[in-house]
Amino acid sequence: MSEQEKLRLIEHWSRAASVPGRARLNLRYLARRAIWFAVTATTFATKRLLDIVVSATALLALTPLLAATALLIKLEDRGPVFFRQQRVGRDGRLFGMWKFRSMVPHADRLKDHLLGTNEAAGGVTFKMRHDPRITRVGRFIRKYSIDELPQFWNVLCGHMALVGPRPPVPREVALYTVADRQRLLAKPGLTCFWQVGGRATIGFEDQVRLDLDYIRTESLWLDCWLLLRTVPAVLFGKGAF
Amino acid sequence: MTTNSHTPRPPASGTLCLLLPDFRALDTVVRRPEPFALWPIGPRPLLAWWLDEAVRRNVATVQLVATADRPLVEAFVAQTGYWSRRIEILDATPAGTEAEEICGLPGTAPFAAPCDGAELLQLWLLLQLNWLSAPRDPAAPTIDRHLAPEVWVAPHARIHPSAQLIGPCWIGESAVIGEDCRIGPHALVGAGAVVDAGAELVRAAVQPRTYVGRTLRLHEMIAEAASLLDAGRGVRVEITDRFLLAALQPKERTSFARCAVRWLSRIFATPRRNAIA
Repeated sequence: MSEQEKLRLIEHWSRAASVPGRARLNLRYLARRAIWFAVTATTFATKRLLDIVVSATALLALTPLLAATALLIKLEDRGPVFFRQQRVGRDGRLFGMWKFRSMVPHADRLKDHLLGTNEAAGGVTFKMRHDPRITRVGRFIRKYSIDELPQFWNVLCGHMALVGPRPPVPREVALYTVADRQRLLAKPGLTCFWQVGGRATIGFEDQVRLDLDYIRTESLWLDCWLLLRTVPAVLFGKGAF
Repeated sequence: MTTNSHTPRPPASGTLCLLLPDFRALDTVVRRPEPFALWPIGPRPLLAWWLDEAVRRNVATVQLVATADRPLVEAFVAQTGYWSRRIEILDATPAGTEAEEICGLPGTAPFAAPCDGAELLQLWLLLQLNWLSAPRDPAAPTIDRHLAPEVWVAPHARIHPSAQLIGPCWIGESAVIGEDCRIGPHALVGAGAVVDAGAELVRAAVQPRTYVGRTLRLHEMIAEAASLLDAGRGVRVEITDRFLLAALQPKERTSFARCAVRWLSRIFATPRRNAIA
């Protein structure tokens, strides 16, 4: 350390001897704390605020579509309209994710017979192109992702965010490795990088990599950009089955 | 689409039995309320790294033998389903099983149990530094950024361009590093900590949400809120000047009534002049 630096250090800390000097030092701490608090609070608050505003607006604006879908599902086989599935949220906490029912009632019981015909790459997730359990209305609403719209309610409740890694089912999480588990560190969301890109055609390992890329680079602008990119991806029904 | 090399794992089987050490009687310097297994090592508690190990070994059940502070361990286990393993909390090691004592990080040789508070503090710092210098694969998917060899930075950390990061070091999530700081070698900055201009950290660990004042030099130390734990000398110093070292956020929000009771009890506890005479 040079003499000049030493002198500056002495000058800085000799302030602590006098009352006004101490006040200045305390003020520096208070200013740092205020900035720290403002930045931490706003980053959390803006994302949550965006979630609440967008999901509430979407629920209100899409009411006719939601009502029509509910009616069609009810008319087709008189079963329940909604389907509540246990999903793994942030830090592995379970929550019930709402969807429109697109499969026959008790589809989970039939899944065990179908596990041998899994078509998703990687073997952790379960996806099939021509699942026999899907109803006629179900096929249509899945193609245009209408079955996912009730999740705006989960966003409004705070279980999910608009943008974030898709919440997996507990059965998949049990097969995760330590590295895969890191995607549970963020709040799950409706859309993320791989929904905008290839959707169901992306392999599991790349999904995890993209989810972690999102957690690393998460920001308000990225969220807005992803939300805007999601709309055309959903409308053209690319890669969804 | 890239090729996928992920192979499905076989279903989990077997049991991992972990013995949580009871260092309550020794904890005279650090004085943390939680048991040693829940002390933070980097971003997560020590126990979390062992539960990761259970996932790596692909066991179905984890048995935790907690002889002390059972409610705190239960609360930790209850609030997380992160590992999706069955976690049982037992009072004693079941007969016929060999329990591994959590006195080190998984994959390394366990340390000898400390004999006093100073050694316990040294053990804590040593574990944090060991976690830091454990080899990490830069190609493996992780949420931390790999800036330089052995320099890892968690998301949303803000680092001044004039700050020096010397590996091995790790900067936690949304931590702030001021101008001309020297972080490392062997330094950890916890999540949400603020290191002010010109500070120097060598073989030191700053705990989450702690403010480290301007031009402070921490060598062989742990800074936690307003207390400085000097592992070299084995002592704890409470800092009253908040511009030196302070908490950025109180650990728990105290209600107005509790504050009033605390102040009143302080006033009544002050010995009156007559009483001393």
